[in-house]
Amino acid sequence: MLAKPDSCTGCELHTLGQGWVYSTGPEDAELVVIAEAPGKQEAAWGVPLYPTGDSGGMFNRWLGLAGLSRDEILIHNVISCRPPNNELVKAPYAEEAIRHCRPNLERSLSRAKVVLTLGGTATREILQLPAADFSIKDWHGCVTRDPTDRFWVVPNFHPAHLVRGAHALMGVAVRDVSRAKLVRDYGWEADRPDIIVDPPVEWFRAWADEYIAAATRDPSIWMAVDTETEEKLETTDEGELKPGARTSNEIVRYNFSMHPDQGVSVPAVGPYLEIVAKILGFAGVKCFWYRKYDLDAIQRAGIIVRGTCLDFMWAWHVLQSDLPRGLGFVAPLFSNFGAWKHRSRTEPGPYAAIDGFQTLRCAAGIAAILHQEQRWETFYRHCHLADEYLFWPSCKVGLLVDRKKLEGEKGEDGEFHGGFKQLVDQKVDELWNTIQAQAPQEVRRLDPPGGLKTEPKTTERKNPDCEKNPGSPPLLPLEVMTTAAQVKTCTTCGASERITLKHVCKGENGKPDRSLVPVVVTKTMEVRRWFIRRQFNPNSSDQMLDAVLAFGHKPGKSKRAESKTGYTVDKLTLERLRKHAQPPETRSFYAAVLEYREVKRIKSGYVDSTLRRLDESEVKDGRLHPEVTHRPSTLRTSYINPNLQNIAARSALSEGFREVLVAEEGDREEGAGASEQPCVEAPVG
Amino acid sequence: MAKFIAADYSGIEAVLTGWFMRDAAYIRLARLGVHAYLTSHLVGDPASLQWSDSDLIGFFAEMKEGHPDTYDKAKRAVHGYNYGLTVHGLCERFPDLYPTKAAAQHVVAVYTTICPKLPAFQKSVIDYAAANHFWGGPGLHPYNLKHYFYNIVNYKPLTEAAAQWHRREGYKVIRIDGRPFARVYGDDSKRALAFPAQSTACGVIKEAGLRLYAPPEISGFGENYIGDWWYGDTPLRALVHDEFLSEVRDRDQDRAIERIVREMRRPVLALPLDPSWWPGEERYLSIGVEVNVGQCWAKKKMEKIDISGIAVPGSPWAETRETDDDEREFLREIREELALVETDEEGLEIAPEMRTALVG
Repeated sequence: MLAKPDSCTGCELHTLGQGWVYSTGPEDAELVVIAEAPGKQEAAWGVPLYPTGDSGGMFNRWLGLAGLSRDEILIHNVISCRPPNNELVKAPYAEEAIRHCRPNLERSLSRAKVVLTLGGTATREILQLPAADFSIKDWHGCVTRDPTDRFWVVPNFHPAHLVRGAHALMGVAVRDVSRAKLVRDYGWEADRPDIIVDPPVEWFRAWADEYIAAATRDPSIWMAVDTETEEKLETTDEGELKPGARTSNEIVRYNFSMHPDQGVSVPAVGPYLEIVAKILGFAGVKCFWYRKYDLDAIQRAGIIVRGTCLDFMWAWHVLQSDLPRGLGFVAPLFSNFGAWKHRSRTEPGPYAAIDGFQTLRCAAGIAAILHQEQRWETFYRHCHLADEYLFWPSCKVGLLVDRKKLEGEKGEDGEFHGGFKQLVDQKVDELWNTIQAQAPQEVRRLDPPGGLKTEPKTTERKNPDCEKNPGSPPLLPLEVMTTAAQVKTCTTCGASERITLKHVCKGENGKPDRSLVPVVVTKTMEVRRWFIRRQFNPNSSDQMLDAVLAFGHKPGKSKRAESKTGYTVDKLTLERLRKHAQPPETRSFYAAVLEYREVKRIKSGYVDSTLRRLDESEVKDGRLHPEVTHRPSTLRTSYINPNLQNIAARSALSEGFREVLVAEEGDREEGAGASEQPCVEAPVG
Repeated sequence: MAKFIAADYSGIEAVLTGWFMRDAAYIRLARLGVHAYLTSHLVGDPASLQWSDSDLIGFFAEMKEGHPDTYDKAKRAVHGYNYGLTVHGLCERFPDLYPTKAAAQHVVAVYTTICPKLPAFQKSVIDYAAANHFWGGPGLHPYNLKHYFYNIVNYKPLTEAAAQWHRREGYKVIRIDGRPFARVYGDDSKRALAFPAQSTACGVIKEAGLRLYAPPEISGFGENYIGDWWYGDTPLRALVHDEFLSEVRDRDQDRAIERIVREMRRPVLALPLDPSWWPGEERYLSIGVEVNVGQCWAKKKMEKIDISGIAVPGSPWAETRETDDDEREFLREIREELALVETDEEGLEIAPEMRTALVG
């Protein structure tokens, strides 16, 4: 391990950080790679991205696949020593350490033509970006000029991210390295498409007419359509909206693009709306990114959409089913424009217009590859047509819920009786009490965590778990414990504990005496603290692990690299302990925990949420209207709100929930169930 | 009055595995009862593939009833092995059935002996995926689907002592920069094994759905269209796993069952049966169906419908084994484990308190 140079004096990591790592590679290299911080191997050998370390090995694979070698690049880190526990992001010393190491970094950057940054920390540091709203997914592969206009920056994922399990990003990471090589070899010209925000109404009208005339002549012209709601602008982009997310508020902007070098965004107000309706009402092919979200919002706004509406988020999913679906992630693979998702709050207009042409560029690229690989037909039939003719209509009709069976009947006491819900609630209470009776005392969490410093006037305190678990006692007894704690003590007057900056010593008469000079020191002392022991939480894996160890049983070995303890108390482990734990009396504890988890899953995931959905549903038809996604990577469908495929068939309670989903009794008049006109008319071709 | 019709493809993924292996015997067994066939070998009373379908079905029913424990063991081994579960994995997951590795090894060995093409097929999938980082596309996948895999093979660092043990046990040890590594299969290897059958099953199911519920001008098929049978709306309520759940009026029930069965059992044009390996009359693969009808969706309250009288052109066989709930549940769990079906995170709603607990 190398010793730190004198320049490290004064840095917070001077004593905390391990080793020292110089940059490696030719000083005059035009391609400079900046990683985050040295790891264990790097600190031990003094080499950044040590070739046979985990991250270094992965990085070497990238280089090999991109046709590069370590001899032609200079590698350096944002900080040059290994931070404690490999933790830099959000660590209290991070900002200071990065600032202190900046001169070392500057030396490596002095001759760079292109800088490949690995991970969020390096990217933010080189591009001087704020941590808020930053996601490396929106920046990877986006060739960006550095703020001082000296070199190009190509952000990429950190190899450690892939080592930890994001293997699916391998192809993307290699592509981003190749892009850095391309920029080094051939330079880069910034992409400058037309970004038209809030154009004059007459201009927009002429633009819409031009589109309609062009699409009438040539029906293969595609129009990218996107909407912005407050929710989208504030939180995430399309692919990261939860499937099933409902537009909670009104559309604020409509974005269009009929040419990959032009994006138009107009506000959803006044005269623009009439033109928007004209564009959407024209029966041309329209491209969306998460069509369901946009169409729901447009339908709410009362605008009819005609023509084929293709959802390229799912087309992308057919193409690369394991990769993220956000437009911010996908766009750099098909467009040279660069990152823009970070502008959603600061520049909502341009951001929205960019969304438009990025959607069109991605749509064109994805469609071309799907056609080339003969997968377009599968996407069209199994996603597009299946959505329009199988899933959306079936979800719209929904599954009828026998509310009486679910909720029971209201008795004279005003409470419901005899329903499936009562059965489940009762079971939850029984199991909760069984678990509490058997869980070891010592694993229960103390509350408040630091204890009460002064003796409470009561002997009991409110049970924080009683609201979530109605079977729990409302009050729990307070216990006093003697424990060692760091306590502030005034050596002048002997006062301890509640000592503030304004402490004034008391004189012999017990009154404040300002002539005495307080000397406050922190001492480790034995003090008394008052706690309650919270109830055992069977859903907490930490508490469950403590319980297993307290019983003297062996937990399972965790296969996850990031596991802190190396142990797991997963279902398999608990099943094993349920059958084989010694002494046999402890087996009932594990059996109760397993059953509790299952019953609680049915209660929260199906029983309570079904009643809530029925109450909150806009259509008061007593039916559940689940939603469908194609998210599994095999393109199987999965239902959410509620998750229909996960109602297990084996357990009696799951069967009980299936019993409340019933076929309709009685007959309706013919045509009584016919839907109103759909928002989207029949697709063409 | 209306009823639910739950029409479920039986053993679709096992049949498709047989198709991918080009193994007529395996397809026949997947339809009639591969678990019972393995059971018969495990108990020393092996069934013969020379017997007729009806003889085999009768014999398999006896096996299932007469040797429930061995049948259970065989069932786990068949599904587990097909989805890449190792001997160690079987012992870990089913310690009651397989208390020792030797016990699991024996069952797996018998299974691979009676289904000799299976190990070779699995190896071919893994090798292809490892070499190309994907599996599928035109020529390999009936619907041209493709899935990328980057973690088929891993290099696990070893200590020198562990390297010696590996060598002694006959495992290969590779040295990179002087350090010993073992070549092990990564997480993606199981997913690669599951992908061909699962994704094809998904295609078969969606095509059948389009023929049944999408208007003829859209699906290109119209003879069995029932897409407006619910008072002008679709009778489809859900497509869960391999099951179509439809809600139909009582008076339409029989006709609906007939149409659903015809479309679900219709020979799949994407799955041709080549005479070079398929001895039967069928020219395209068709998959068996079970139909249950009831007032609610609870399986135990539904009545199984005899569909043997429904003739399907190009699909001459009629009888299939039944898929029990236990088997369905096991398949669901294993799909979840392979992350090919998403459950938690954004799928299943987890109560806020549970979410906190799971995180913390």
